[in-house]
Amino acid sequence: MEPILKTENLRYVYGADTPFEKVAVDNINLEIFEDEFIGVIGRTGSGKSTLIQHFNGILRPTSGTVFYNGSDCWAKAFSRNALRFNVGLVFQYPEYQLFEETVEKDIAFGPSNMGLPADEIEKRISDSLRFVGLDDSVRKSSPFELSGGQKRRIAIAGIMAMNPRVLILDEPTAGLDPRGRDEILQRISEYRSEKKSTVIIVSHNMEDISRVCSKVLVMRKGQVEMFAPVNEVFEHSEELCSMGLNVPQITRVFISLKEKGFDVPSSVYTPAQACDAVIKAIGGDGT
Amino acid sequence: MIKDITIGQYFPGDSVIHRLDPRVKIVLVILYIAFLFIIQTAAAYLFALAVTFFFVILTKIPLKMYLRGLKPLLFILIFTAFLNIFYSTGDPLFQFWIFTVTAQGIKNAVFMILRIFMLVISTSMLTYTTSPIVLTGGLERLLSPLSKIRLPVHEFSMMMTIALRFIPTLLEETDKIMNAQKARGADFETGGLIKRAKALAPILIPLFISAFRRADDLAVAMECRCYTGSGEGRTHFVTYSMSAADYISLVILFSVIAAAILLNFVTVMGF
Amino acid sequence: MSALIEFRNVSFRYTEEKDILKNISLSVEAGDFVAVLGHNGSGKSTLAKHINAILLPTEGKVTVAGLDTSAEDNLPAIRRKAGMVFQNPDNQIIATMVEEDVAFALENLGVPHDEMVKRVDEALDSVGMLEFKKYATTKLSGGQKQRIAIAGIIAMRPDIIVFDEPTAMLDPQGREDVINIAKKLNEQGITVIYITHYMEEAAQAKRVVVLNDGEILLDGTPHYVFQNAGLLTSVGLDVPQSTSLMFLLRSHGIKVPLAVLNEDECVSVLSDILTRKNQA
Repeated sequence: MEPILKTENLRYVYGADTPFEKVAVDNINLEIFEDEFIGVIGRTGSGKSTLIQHFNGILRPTSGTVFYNGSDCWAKAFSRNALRFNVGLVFQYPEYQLFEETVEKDIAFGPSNMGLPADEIEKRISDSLRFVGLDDSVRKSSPFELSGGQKRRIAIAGIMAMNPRVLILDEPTAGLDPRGRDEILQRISEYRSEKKSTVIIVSHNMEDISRVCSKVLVMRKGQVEMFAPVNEVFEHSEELCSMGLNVPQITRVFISLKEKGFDVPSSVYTPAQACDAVIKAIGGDGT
Repeated sequence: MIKDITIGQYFPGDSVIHRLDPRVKIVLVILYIAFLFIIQTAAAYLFALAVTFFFVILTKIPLKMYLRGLKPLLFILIFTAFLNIFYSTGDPLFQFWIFTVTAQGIKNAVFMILRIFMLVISTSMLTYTTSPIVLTGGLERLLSPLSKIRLPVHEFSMMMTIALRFIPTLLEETDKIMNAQKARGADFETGGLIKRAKALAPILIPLFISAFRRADDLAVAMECRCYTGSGEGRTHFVTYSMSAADYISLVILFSVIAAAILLNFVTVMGF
Repeated sequence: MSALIEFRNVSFRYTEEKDILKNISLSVEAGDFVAVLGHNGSGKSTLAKHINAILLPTEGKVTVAGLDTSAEDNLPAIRRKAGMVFQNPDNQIIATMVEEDVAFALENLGVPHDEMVKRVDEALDSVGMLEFKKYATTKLSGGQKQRIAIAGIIAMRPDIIVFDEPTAMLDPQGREDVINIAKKLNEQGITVIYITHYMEEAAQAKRVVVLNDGEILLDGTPHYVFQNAGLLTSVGLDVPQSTSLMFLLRSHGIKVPLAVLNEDECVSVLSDILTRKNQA
């Protein structure tokens, strides 16, 4: 099977030939397949955001190649405008990109740039509003009158409305409270299972990623450190911790227990898994 | 990318020039510019050039950085040189078609290029070696006598400080918004003037909204830090006390200018 | 003698339609560390902005060190006593260079130059940013900018620092740095009001006030507040994972205390259970 996104020896240097030159990502070789749900994690400056901006052709590799569906994204005949419709990228704090007078006009911006007919755009607006859990009553409202969480959802809907084959979200839950965070994650999950599209989420928060994603890409100092299913990545929880990643509290608890010599797994990351592990360790249901 | 634009860029450093009092630097640059317009002889130009390079070396900032500032002016330089060469009066050196090239013309062109070259280097030197806030502080202090005649010197200086502080932030933000709209298929590169102007709305509207929000936040934050809006009763963190180096550089530059004015009357090789 | 910060029957609304704060009464003693927890729109930031008179109560009265915030003459004194750190680190930095920004409040207060230099260095040192004092503020990370903003407040030597969601825009490292600084300042005697929706941060306070729709829902020690896991979840908040685990273990009939908030407490509780089993 052809990967939908692929990178070969991808390298990107910011501010080349200036005193502020910095290698942001280097030697990235990745294959991402259709229907995968990937979480990208890493500390600030690990190259996460730089990497994903290569997937829709916003950044051009300093060297190396990015392939979409088998074609080189920077080949002469390749249309990067079409690429941006196929690989939808939701930037961090996307609510700051809203500009139209009404919610529906703003969501329509992407689809109209695609040159879709009016009735199709209408359908896309309704569908994407449904995906982000807002009803049609907000269509005529000004996006600037909505709450922060609603603005964020409108902005995400604007990308979903382009019906991309790959949806990438950079820190979609940043600054949201627990309820807003859960809501967004759940909506993204539902969108994915309905659309069967590839979804990539960038996050600082290991807990968010472990909750929804199936695969985790760990970035460190501009390089890929791990790329494996969630439970396999948590097998290395001590390593993740020592890399300064924000692993779930419960994982840290179990790492400590293991260090103290108790026979418990260190790969737990939810309270439910932790509960099972404790019950198993004490043999039985504890009564 | 847009953030590569360097408006009054500052290169932090610890050279003699960096450490000079900003008031001295401002005065020196103004004098130097005046001086560039006085000199007329080759000897004076050579001398000025030597002085310029001497100062460039003192700043410990590579010459390459200074030359970068000349790039946008390249067209103007060539154009004025062209005008000077062909439209000066004097003894014709040679002639072709409708053009007459005179020795005077070549001399004017070379002088003009040198003058602009040194002008750019000296003003860049001021911004490269002086942090914007020190620069505005220096200007405020130099202009402070004007507040006696009720000119809002403090307000002007505060506005400058905030503008300088937020220029990089807003440039970065513009970059982000542009990328976000590109991701929605916005096209800023093709089409006629009207189409391109229209294409700016998705950038400008979010940018203005954000700038107003920032202004609002900043005003509250400033009030919370006891800012009252007037310069009265304020003290200044950055103080300016003239050091020996400041006096020495003032003396040096004055003697340089005096020497150059003398050289102005000496002609070399008939120029 | 009233408490350092006193809210007496405070209600606040922007327009006539909806009360953002509803009849809040709250007093905070000097030296306390109060986390105000609540979902977005619960009124927690509005509450914070009343403490240094950015907002004034529509009804009721707020006093800080006995000074009524509604009296305009009290404003300079209140602003000096109660400093405020805001959410967006970019929008509260005024100067282009770190030390000059930290000095801003001192310039406004007319502090003499030598004293100012000393206080700027001390403030930068206490947030661990002394080595950055000559840096350009725009070149710093979000967390570093926030530490500069805190230093700018510390330099004023306030009695109270109100942190209004200081970590909402920061990465995990920046968040940890900020909460640690807040704790350190509190140990040095500064009264801290810390607005957040991160329960891990609230769990580190001495007292937690939970706001919901403009009303105080819970008020007490973190151990007391987080025992009400069901109530917290119902108003859109979380409890720490360790607390959730204790609830799960209880439901399986394992006897554990519910008031478990942090990693260390959880490790010691689980160690006990596992050791008991080994001995049995």
